[in-house]
Amino acid sequence: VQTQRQPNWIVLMVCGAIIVATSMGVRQSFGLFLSPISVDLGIGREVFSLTIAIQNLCFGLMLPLVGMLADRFGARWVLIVGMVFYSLGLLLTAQARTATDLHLVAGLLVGVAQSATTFVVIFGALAQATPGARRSLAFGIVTAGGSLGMFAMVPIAQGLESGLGWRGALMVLALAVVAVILPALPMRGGANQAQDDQSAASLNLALAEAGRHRGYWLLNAGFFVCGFHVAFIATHLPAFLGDMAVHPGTAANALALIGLFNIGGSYLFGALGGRLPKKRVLSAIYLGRALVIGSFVLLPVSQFSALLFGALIGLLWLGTVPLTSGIVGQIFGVRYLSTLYGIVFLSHQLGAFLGAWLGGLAYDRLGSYTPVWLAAIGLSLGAALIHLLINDRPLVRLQAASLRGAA
Amino acid sequence: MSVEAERFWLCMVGAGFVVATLLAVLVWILLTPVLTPAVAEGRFWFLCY
Repeated sequence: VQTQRQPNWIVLMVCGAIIVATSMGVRQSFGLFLSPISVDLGIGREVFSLTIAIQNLCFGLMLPLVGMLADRFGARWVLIVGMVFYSLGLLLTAQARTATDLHLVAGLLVGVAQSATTFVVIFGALAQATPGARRSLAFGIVTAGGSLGMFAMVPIAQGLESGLGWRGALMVLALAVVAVILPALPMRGGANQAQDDQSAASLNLALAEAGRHRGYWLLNAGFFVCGFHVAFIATHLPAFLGDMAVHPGTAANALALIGLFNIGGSYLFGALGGRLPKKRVLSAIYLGRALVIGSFVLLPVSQFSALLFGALIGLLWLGTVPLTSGIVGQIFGVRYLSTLYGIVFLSHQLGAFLGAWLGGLAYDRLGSYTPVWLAAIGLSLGAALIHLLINDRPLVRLQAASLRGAA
Repeated sequence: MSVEAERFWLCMVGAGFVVATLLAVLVWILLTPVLTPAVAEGRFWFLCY
């Protein structure tokens, strides 16, 4: 049942890509402000680190809730309110004087607002307007937009910080965030439903169906592994390379290559998901990660191997996003995609928390990252296996609807 | 929207991505001296999303 005319899916896809590019790009650049804020406010680095930890915690925990709000009231209003508070949070952070200010605005307010401006909300609205055969490609392009934003915004934010100071830079970023309210206007979702979709009749029913589906839990487990990998590598790769006596410039370039190849990988795997079974492509990504990480850690680390690792792991970085969200929509329909994907996304963030934290813990206790690299390889192989076990056929209700449509 | 029009606009989106990515690479290259110390201090990370 389509209750409202949807804008063209390509328009929505481009708007979604612009929104996540800005939202995720600004989020990505927060780390650059660690040193200047700590020095200027005369606080320890652990204070701002705690702020970022609060921000990430709020971001992850709010994802299922904003997904439900988007499914109930439509993506547009969730995005607009999110952008307004995100921007307000950045402006207030620019006025911060104490550690408490930072925790409340840059941590709590920005973290909650960020969750309302990301993939979880966009995908729900986009899926409802996009033909089933094109959804994976559309998700891939939006993910590539987010990847491009993460890659492009870091040097821009650094340049702003160098030229305007951290307060001025945050104000400019606040303006950038509020400007993307414009592309949020065509986003609808909510009460709409795709013409080829027969999703559950209610949110409670959708949650109950997902809770009983083994594949949904396996997807959660797989995405947990993805979060573990990316957070561990992103957080600890520079330190690991430093331990291997690799020049800091190489670490910077390796991270840049992750960001650069991630753009192509997000698009590539989204497009592949439209042509091949998504669960097999996901399995191949995790198997690829195991091979890349294993080769990198077991062979002698050099400048060349660090750069090659950055390129290859970057290619496999966020290709999981369009595929995982695509499988959720494929099995359960798209009407409650934001809610169901929001829960899976929370698993990703829990994995990310553990990956970042365990890396540091293992290093402090054992003086080496090796156990966590080995855990990353083992988890990767496990994820490659469990995705093959997912029954990704649409629910019986959806299959019956599809047969009725064919008749 | 016709299949041809859809294909055309998808090509335009792809071209836009390529141009934006090349520009971003240029900015990275220009700002490498500024970014390298940030990496060395652990102030720079690709979180996850």
